[in-house]
Amino acid sequence: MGFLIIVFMGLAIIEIELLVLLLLISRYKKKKDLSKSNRQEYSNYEEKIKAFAITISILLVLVIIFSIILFSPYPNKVKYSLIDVVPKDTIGLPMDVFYEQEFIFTISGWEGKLQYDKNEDRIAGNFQYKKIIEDDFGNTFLVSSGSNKIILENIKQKNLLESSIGWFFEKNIEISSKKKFFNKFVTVTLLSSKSSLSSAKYEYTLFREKPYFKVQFSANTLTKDKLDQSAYGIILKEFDLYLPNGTILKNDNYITELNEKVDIILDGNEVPLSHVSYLSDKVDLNKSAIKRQGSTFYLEQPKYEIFYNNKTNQTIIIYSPIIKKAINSFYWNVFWFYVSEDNGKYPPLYFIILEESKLAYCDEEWIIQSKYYDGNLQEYIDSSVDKMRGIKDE
Amino acid sequence: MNKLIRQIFNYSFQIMLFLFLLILLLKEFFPTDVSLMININWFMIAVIVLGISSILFPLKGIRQIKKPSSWRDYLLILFLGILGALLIFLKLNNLGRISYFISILGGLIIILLSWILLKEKD
Repeated sequence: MGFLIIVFMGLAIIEIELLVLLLLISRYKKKKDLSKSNRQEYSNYEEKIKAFAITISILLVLVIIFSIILFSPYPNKVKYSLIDVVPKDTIGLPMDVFYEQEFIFTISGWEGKLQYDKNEDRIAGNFQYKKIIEDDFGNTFLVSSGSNKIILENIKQKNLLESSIGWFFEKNIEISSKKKFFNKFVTVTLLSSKSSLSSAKYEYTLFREKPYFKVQFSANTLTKDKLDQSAYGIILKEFDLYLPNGTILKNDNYITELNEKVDIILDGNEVPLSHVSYLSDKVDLNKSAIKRQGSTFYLEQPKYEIFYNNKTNQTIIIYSPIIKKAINSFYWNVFWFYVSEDNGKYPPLYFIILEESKLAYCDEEWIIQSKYYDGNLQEYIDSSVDKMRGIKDE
Repeated sequence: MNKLIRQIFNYSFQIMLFLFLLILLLKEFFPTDVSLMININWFMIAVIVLGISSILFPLKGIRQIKKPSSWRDYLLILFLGILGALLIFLKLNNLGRISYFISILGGLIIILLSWILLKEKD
């Protein structure tokens, strides 16, 4: 796109030059004509006015066009290129990442974790993560559905507050974006938590026509000493994991639909369907059970992680200066990157997305062949992170 | 000064309209790239505002001197007709055989209308 803008500006300059040239030629020709016709049709003054008007018009048009290019928002359906992030202020705060208009993965507020006052909870939670239903006799139940069971809890025996989860809720999320010539900045602010946490932020920096972006999490509280580690939660499906030491972890996530119905647990006891059949119109008690499989790997201080999809040949590199630990769950297809707090701010997470890529491990280093880069992966990470590091939304 | 402002509105509108039509044409063939570069709706608003301004403040006292048409004009008409037909065909070629008919007809209409304009008397 940058190339197109340069071409466009080039064309505009050529246009101005051509017009000036035309004016000079016409002036020369008219001077000749005027000498013949004793300056009957045009005066020199009118010529100057015309040339001045054309110059001002061209400048005006250029100002209008560049104002539209720089300041007008994209239509919603069109995504920033190459990479765009589209957060949604709905339950779980999904922040979808698109590459060339195509969805790739989600950075999730629901899967994001924050340790505060010695407790760890989800960053973007839900005030009522369990469904509340009422039967015809005035009894109220909390319902939570699992892959192979449905749990019903009579609300008389439980505190209603148990139905909330997370530090922040979906009702107080603000999303804003700002565009500059080479960057787009997206800020997601979470306000008013259930604790003394006052706010939290995800700040995205996107780069025009570049295959990388970064996100930084921060949290605000009056008692900052209570803040501890935080985890970025990434939902990434169908990607294998390649580790810096050359190990390849195959994605073994597998979901099978079982030939049996889900178990129904009422106040801690398994009950037959007939026992609670009167609730069938409120909650699907007849659904089939599914079996979820997949490994989980815990890594201490990995330098980076490479995710590779062998169907699309897409590589996603995730890097942060100090990753405390990474939990890679193929069971949920969710990957957590824990980082330490520094005065309310957490180190950014850098993402590099390479298409048409192939990876090879030679001499204890990853070598990558891709559309944008061929060579040593560590060197590419270093140079890309250097370019991303200095850019701030000011 | 009044005349200058009228000229600025008039020339700005002409340039903007030409660029708008060009971008509209490009958008037909490269919809994503053009949409990423410029918001066409805002462009249209700017063209409309300049168009209204040039109607409200028209140029006065300027009379176009009609030149006799030359072989270059006819060649340009032919070129524009063929180009128009080609663009229509490129856009509609997935329709099958009917696209040949529509594009030839479109090209002929362009040539015919341009011919009428060229031959039109004051």
